[in-house]
Amino acid sequence: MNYKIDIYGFNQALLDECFNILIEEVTASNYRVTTYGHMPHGFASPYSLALLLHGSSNDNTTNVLLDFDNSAKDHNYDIVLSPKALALDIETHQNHYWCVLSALLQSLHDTSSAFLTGYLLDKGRSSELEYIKKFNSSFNVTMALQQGTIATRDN
Amino acid sequence: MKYSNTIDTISTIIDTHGFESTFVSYNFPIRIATANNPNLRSTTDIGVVQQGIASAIGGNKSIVFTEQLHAHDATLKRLTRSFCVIITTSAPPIAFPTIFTRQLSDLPEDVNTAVLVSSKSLIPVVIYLGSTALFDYTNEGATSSSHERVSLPPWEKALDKPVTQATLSDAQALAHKTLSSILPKWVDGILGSNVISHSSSEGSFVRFITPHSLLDTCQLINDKISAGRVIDKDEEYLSALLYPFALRQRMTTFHLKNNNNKPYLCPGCPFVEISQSVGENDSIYTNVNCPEAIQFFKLNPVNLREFSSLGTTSKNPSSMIFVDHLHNYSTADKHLLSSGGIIFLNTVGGDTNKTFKAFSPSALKSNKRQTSALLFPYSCHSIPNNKAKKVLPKKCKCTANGEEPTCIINTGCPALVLQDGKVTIFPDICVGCSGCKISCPYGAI
Repeated sequence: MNYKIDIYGFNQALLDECFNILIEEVTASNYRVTTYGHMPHGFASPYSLALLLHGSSNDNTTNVLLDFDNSAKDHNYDIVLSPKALALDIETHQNHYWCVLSALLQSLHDTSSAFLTGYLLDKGRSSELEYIKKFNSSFNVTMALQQGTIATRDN
Repeated sequence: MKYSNTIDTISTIIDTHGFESTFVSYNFPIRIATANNPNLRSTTDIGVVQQGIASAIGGNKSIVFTEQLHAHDATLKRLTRSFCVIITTSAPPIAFPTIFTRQLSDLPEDVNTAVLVSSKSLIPVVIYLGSTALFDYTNEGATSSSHERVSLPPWEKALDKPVTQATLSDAQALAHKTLSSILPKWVDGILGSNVISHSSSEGSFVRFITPHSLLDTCQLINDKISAGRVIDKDEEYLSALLYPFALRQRMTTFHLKNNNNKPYLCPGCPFVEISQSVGENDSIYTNVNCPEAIQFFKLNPVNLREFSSLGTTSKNPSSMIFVDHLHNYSTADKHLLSSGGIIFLNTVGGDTNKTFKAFSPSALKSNKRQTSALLFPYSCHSIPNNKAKKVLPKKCKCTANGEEPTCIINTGCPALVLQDGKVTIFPDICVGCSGCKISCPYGAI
């Protein structure tokens, strides 16, 4: 129930939104949250930060890579969530950000993507909502983990 | 939005404090939004700090963002009329009071503190922003914390006079006093000593360092390191930061230096040999801008022109020695050399300069002085690295005879350490300059 999530993304505005939704959801699920910023390597490099979610007192930690723009190399992560792993196209409207976030919220214990859809509904973002609904109907975490599409090493 | 990122947090800080001039170096790792800050100026890395300080001297509330604080940025010619905050992202030289911020949530409060200290003491304050805080999120409530607008000192109070060692020292002391009343000296991390701190938001680390309390801070850091409160990576960083102040290997002699109120000098400092060659009644004047040497040898800082005029008015011109770098001399100043007792430190290198006679201690004697200046074989910038000296333990008798070790007292060399009543030379620091050899009365070196 402990997670270390490395987040990479180029779009700062969307990253802000996604981060706010993610924190809202995980704190509602009573995770203890710690953030670690990363030093930006340059202006062309993606924004990155690490998120520690403490959900239990044992030492086991699941390493998750949340890569919004296929910008990171995936070595030794338990779960890799990126447009490439989820077979998504990188859209000009950047709708894939919401799908990757939705996949993360479905992968963590005790969280769901309901708050994300509610947020988009409140903001009246119909195109994003439609896109994410389409994605959610086709995405199944258990199946994806079993088939090894989003898992890179055996737990 | 409930959580704001570093860029938004910094923009909020600039707006709330009403900084009138904001300088951002091109190399600063994060982009600072320009929409709300019409006074923001992007500029090259070199000189950005000087521009910020100059702006504060002119009376503008300034903030500077730079990737690196260079050593030459740290010279302060005048006290500022308004506050100046410098935010840097790599280990700064400790020339100004420096606050270490490792968490983004601490940044607004630390800027408040920096503004308060800077406006009280009229010197710039540096904030070292740790790499974890460079792209992070913080609660938006944290940015609008207990901020109070600081009332600036009235203009007539701000000093227009150039900074002397005494006024700067007073200002540094005031800054240290103010900082100590607000911040703790050391922060012990939540998770203890197993967490890196200058690159991570938790862990054990120093909270602030001021030039005024440098020796105390060295002592504190040394205690923490020996108590195992600092992990290796941090220790490496802190040692690098405090290297000029001889933290690691030379801690044993700190009490000795503290009692004498004398700082360390560079190994092979030319002034050691020069000061030992002159007579007791001679006074040394210099244009070399080295605060440590000036303090250690009680030198009088003047330039060649001033020295020349002093020589003509002095009652005893034969007791005056002037030392300067050779590159500061131009042939137009040739007429100023007539006063004698002038030594140039050879910055050019080699024996290419035949204009001046080579330095020899006997030529410094007042009856043998000639009009031509002497050329010391090397300067502070080009100290040669010769074979390290060794101490003959049987002959080293100062402490056994109840005397103070002359070599350490006279040279201020960081390579010399007193261990178990005997002087030891660290071979990796010693440059073989023979300064200690000359001063040892027992011929033990």
